[in-house]
Amino acid sequence: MPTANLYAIVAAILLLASMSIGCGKPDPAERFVRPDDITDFHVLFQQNCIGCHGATGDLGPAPPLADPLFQAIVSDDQLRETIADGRPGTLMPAFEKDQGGSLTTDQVQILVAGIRETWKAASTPTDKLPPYQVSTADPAGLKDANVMTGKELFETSCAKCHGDAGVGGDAGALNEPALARLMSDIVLRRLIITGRPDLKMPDYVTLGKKSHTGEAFTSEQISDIAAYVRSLQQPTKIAALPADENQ
Amino acid sequence: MKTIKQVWDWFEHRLELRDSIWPVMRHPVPAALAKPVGWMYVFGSMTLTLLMLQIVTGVCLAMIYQPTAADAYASLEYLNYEAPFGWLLRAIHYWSATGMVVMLMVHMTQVFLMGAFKYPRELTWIVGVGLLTTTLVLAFTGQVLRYDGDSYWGVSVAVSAAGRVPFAGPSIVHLILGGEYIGSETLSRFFTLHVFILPGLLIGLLVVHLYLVVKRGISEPPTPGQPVDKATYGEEYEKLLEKGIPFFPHALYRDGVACAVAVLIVVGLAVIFGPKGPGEIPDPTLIHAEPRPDWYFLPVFAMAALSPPSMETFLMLGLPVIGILALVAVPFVAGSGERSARRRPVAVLVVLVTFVTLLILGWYGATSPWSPDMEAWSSTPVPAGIVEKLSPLELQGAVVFQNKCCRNCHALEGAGGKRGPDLTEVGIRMNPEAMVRQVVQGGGNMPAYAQQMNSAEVTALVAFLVKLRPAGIPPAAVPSAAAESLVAAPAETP
Ligand code: HEC
Ligand code: HEC
Ligand code: HEC
Repeated sequence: MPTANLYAIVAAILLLASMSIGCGKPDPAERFVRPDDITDFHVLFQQNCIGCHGATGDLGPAPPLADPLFQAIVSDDQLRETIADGRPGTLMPAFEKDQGGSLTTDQVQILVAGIRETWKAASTPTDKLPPYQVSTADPAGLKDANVMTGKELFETSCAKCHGDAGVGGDAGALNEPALARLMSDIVLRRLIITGRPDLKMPDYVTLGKKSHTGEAFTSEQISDIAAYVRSLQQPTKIAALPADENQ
Repeated sequence: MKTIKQVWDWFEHRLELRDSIWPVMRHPVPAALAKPVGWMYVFGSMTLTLLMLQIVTGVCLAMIYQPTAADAYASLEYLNYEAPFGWLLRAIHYWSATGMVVMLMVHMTQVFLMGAFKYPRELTWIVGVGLLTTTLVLAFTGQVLRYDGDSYWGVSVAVSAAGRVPFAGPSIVHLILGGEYIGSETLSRFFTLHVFILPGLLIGLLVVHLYLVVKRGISEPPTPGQPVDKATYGEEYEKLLEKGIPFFPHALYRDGVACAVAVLIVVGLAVIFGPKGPGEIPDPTLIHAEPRPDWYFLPVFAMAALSPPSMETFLMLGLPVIGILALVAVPFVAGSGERSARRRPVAVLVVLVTFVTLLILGWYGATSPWSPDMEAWSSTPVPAGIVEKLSPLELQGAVVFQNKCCRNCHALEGAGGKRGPDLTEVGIRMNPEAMVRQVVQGGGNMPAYAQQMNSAEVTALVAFLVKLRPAGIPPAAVPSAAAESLVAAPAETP
């Protein structure tokens, strides 16, 4: 009898509808927010940063931000400046509106605070850390660096993974000329300090202890290594120029 | 009891419903309708019921809705989040509109396949086509009232189509928009259309339609081999009705059950899925929008998008007109002859082709990536599994891939834009030379990047792309010398 079937169908629908009463009610949390009005750090980070810095602030192709050591050495102002103005000459874009980006000044501030809050350093002693930036004129301290010292340190630490003269080994090559143009000096310095914990590259303490010095790298040594890596990437310049000629 | 009877008699004495409505209710219909085939005759009533539901919910919505550019969006949010059951009203109105369009299509298909549009019911069909058109325009204007990104864009498309009408174009645009651009004037025009003019028209047509249904009688279920002959049909139908059954209650009860089911389904859908939108704020400066029309217009949308630009005007303006004319022509082309679908293979074929076409176009319209995913470059991470395999140079290449917005068109592991092919395994199918050529020269809907990348970026990018292949599989064959010279080719823009 079709009527009996129909009643069954009707009953089923009624049941279903009453079971799920209200699940179609729109959730105010999902209401559309104008991009300028977004104030939630996670949303801002998700929409603007994870494309390069990774879904969780690490394991992206750009340097990880979810790194307590990085958080310990970098200042709020340095963070704000990098996010607002980008890194001219690198692939880190400017995000503030006056710089052609899409975020308001407040939103940049929210990002800075959020990055701090989310990935703050637990308890790293700040006094002994090598500075993120050596000086404003020479952020990575390359001008006064000694390439020869850098070469020696490189050979006893980095070369284990990156190969002699950075031609590549277990880890990839560092002597690519393209790297010289794409990666800034300051980030090279920072990567030697923090390593890439997400990619199994150790930080300056471990690296230093396993090098011939047996101690964590000093700020100067880090600059020296950076200068040597740079020299490897510039085949036109002679790799092992004395430091003073590099100035 | 006695008073009720007195009141009833007082009214009856004046209205004489017993003489007007009652005979209509009891008018004979073909006896065959008492058989299960009678269930084929309920779709029209179902559509009508949903229309009632539309009117009731629509009136309630109109009390709160603000047809001005400044307040429309806020009034919808008010309905969604604050007004008690406002969300349910919006949801029912949306799902019932959907139901109306669906039931109209089912109803028309049934009438078409059962040959009920043939003599003497041609006019009923033609008025029905008018009802279909009005309903679709109502659906469109309703979508515009949901003043969000989709709605804004819908008007823009309609206006750009209207603007191409020869000679009258600009005036029509002005008439629709009530000005030079989409704003309050536009919204109040659409509001008036949606709330007064079109419903009035619809109800007018409906009265004629129902009048004709009663006047011409409900068509008997077709029997193969009994063609409609204009000379004899009237007589035969009369004879059929002599053995007929009264409309009430025998046929009407099925309508009742079907309509109840329709209402329940619509309310069920509304409760479960809730109202649609409003989505993004209608602001042409928000470029993230990926607008899509409500489902009923997806096929048209797909067609316009698929057509070559030279055909667009014709498709957007001509096709709807041709479609309506074709429907109107149906009873004139096939006004007599066989009614049964079994003897009308062409009719069945037409229905099949129409529905398959609509389904394919609709599916295409619903799923195709019309525009790149504008946020993928910064919001869609490079899959961690890929990042872990990269060397320092390739890491830079992955950043180039994001920074130059390749990701907006190309997915990695399924995530990202879908405008171009997924590049997760591009390293297997392309050699570096071909990659450089593709990036530097573009081609096939992909822009050329020669002016926007320096050689270091191209080098890193290609190193990254080459690495995009499963472990253990060698890269595509490498004519490396040629690739080198091409790498050096792009203009240096540090
Ligand atoms: C298109 C890719 C890309 C996006 C998107 C991006 N970044 Fe970066 N970011 C980079 C690159 C590449 C660097 C390293 C630049 C260099 O070589 O100095 C970097 C560097 C940084 C640094 C400095 C890191 C250091 O070690 O010195 C910070 C902080 C930073 N980005 C924050 C952000 C935030 C916050 C966002 C989101 C608002 C963001 N980035 C979005 C690519 C990106
Ligand atoms: C234990 C092995 C190991 C040692 C030692 C090591 N690295 Fe790495 N390094 C890695 C790995 C792994 C990566 C990730 C990329 C890859 O796999 O090629 C990496 C990446 C890098 C990168 C690119 C990071 C980025 O985000 O783009 C630089 C620059 C780098 N190393 C420099 C150095 C320098 C300089 C030293 C010596 C001070 C050094 N590395 C020592 C393993 C190592
Ligand atoms: C506007 C969208 C768009 C952007 C942006 C874009 N592409 Fe494409 N890309 C396409 C389309 C569409 C095709 C398919 C071209 C064809 O069919 O000939 C394609 C094809 C390719 C191919 C060939 C894939 C294959 O399997 O045949 C590669 C490689 C490629 N793109 C790389 C890139 C890179 C790298 C970038 C960034 C520098 C980029 N694309 C940016 C749309 C885009």
